[in-house]
Amino acid sequence: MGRYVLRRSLAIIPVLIGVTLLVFAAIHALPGSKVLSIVGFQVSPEMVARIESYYGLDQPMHVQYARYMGHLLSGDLGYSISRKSQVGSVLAPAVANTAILAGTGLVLAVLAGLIGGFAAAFHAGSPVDRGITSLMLIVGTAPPFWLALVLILVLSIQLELFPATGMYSPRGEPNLPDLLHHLVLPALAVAAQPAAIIAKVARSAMLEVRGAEFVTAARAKGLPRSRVFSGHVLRNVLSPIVTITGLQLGYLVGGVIFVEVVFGWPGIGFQLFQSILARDITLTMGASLIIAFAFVFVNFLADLINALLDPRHEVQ
Amino acid sequence: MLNFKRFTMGLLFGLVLFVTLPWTVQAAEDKTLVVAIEANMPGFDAHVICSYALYREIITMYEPLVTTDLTDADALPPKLVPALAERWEISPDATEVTFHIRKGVKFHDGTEVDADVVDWNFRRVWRKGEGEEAPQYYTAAAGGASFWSDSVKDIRVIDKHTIKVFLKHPFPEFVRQLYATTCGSFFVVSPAAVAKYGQEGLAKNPVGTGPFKFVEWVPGDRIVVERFDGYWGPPAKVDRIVFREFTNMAAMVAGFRRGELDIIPAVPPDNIALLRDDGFKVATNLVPNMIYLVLNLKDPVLKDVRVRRAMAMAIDKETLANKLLTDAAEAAHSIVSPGSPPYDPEFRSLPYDLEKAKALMREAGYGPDKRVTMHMPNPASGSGTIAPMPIAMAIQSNLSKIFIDLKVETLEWYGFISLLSRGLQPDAQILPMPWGMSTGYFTRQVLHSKKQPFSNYGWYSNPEVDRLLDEATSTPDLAKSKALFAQVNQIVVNEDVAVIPALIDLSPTAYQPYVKNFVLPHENWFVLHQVDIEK
Repeated sequence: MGRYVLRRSLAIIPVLIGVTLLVFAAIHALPGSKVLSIVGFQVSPEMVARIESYYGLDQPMHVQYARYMGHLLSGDLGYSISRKSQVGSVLAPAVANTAILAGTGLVLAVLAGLIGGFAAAFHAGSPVDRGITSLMLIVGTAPPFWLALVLILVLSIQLELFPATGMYSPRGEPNLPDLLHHLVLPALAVAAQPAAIIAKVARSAMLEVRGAEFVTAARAKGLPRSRVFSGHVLRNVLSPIVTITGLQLGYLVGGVIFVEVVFGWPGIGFQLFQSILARDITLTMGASLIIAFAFVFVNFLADLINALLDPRHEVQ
Repeated sequence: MLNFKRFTMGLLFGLVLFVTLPWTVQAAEDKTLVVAIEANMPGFDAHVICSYALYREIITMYEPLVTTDLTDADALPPKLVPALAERWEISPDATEVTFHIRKGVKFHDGTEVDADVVDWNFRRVWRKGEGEEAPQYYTAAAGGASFWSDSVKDIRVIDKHTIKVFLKHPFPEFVRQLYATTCGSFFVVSPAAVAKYGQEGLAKNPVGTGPFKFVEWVPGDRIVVERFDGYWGPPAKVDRIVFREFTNMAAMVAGFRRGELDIIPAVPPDNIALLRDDGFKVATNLVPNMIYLVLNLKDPVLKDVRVRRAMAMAIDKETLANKLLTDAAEAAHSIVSPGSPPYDPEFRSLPYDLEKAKALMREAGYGPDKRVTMHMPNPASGSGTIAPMPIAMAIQSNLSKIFIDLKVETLEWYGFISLLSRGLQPDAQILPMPWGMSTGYFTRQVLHSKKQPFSNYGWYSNPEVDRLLDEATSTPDLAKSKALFAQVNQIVVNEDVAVIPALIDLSPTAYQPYVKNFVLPHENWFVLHQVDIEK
């Protein structure tokens, strides 16, 4: 297990280096000077060149990249010219905000997915099963930003149940009930697709395991239903569910950007979106790295949990 | 042991309870005004800010020497009134301006404003010559200030509360230009704050003299300012203002409808009538910002004035404004900005006449069997734009009737403005430019041959127009200036057709019924110190 952990940990490094190269090249490919966000357009090319030089943006690309990686290795994510702050200080609160949203979304997705999937499996072939499956199909294929706007329109504007934007009310001091109230709609938007996929997997896994011989044998032995479920069924359905949940969390973190932009949720996805618009190289790199790291790490964690749950998983 | 059904029912019950419990946000004991911004804030250094949207925040905290009275919705142009300068004098030849600095004004950090402080501020964004920069000279800020600083020959402190600016040429509008420039307006920042936080640090720790002082900035989320009780003028009516950043207009309107926002600017045109029908207030007013089409005069097809005239007569501005953008814009005819002193609302550009336009194109050698293709880079959104996609589609449709196939290339904002500093290149024939200032000097910037290419994007050059512009912007006689600008309009818009004025922005701004004293002036931004809330 120790060697497995070490091997997987080391494998993260080339992935992250690849991300920095890709993002660096992509942002440089975008048209427009990287200082336009701060100087505007009524400025002469000579002045733009001077300001670029002031920020070291006139250096060759490989020099800029090498300098960035040098700072990164010492734990410095660089300076954001559009936010006038160290990238770390801009992204730290954003990461926390995304963690709140993604974490809540994941909990909702897992709960809804398990409840929906198990309910569908227990009532396989019935209208309940068909209803749940259809709902999951619609919800699972709807684009997150579209779903977010629909939720705002119906639950916020029409029914006036929840706020439409932001993380806290701009009036008064931030508090927990206010946060939870603002969290509902974005968490639902974020949870929808993963919930649908988890439900599908949960349903399939449950149907397969419930029909297995060892379950029949356990029932035949006279074990109570609850014991059969907890001791035999649950443990065997969890493995594929944990795998898919881990994968979904990775996609959830990446997909949260759309939801954050629509709801104005000040998370890392929102910061990434704004940094691209502003051509802020270091902020874009920093946000991309964090998202990439989160994606890879979460998948790694899911594999680890799976290995612990099911000793048959090959870890060599 | 977990009972699945009971667990599910319990969860659903909890959810319903959560949703239906009366939620009470802690009642604010103070008056807080919440205003949306349709742009991202890059910090609060007043010398670096470069957009109308961001000015609304900056002017709560900073002040210029002379400002305009933006509490009068009818004044066209807005009247110049004292701010940090309690009075000023312009020499008869308009080459010297003397500012008398108001006594007893303090920055939010307690330091005083005097002529030395104003001089320090000038030298932060201006230098007398190459290699003559003051220690506080800030390159990132100097670019935007060039709109007025290029005209400054020298600056001298006369005494503790008097400072004199010497200009390179007669510039009667200098005082207005100092404030109304879109980029690099001259606000007075605290030198002590720059000393304490550094040049870059001022952006996160703004210190000005305005009626509000900075409290907090959560990038991408909100900016909070609160009333400054040491302000030299009448105190602001509200205790706090929270500015919320939005890049998604639908979410901004949704937040407004829910009561989370008190004032929202740049209301999408199709929402104006709906908001009014639902009892919200939506103000509109003529502002300097307009959409004008810049034509690439180096293009071989556009070199033919018959083609340019045909295009001007084929674009149905009235329908565009009245049917497509009802209440959000009106047809533009002049290249002199609305809201500027020499603006003439009676001036008319070439009338819409499709048959005449077709005849002109045929005369130029084009027709159904010989169509011409043109390219137009178009911003998807951005500062000053008004429904850019529908407008581009409408122009495309209009021009297709006169044998022009217009390829619209949609770019996001920075991609679009990155094209500007080089002027229009051979791969682009038309540029829909959203811009305008409340000064006649703006027109000189966009048409004078010396301003090619970075504000005269279409490479327009006419010595007669250059002469008229130089004279119009250097005469202190407003009537004479207006007459000269009228000649410029006639030549540029109707004879040379170097640009096609299309639309004037009416800047639709929505506000809640309980918001009082809100004024939308004839300017690209508005003030908030007089606004009150009565709930």
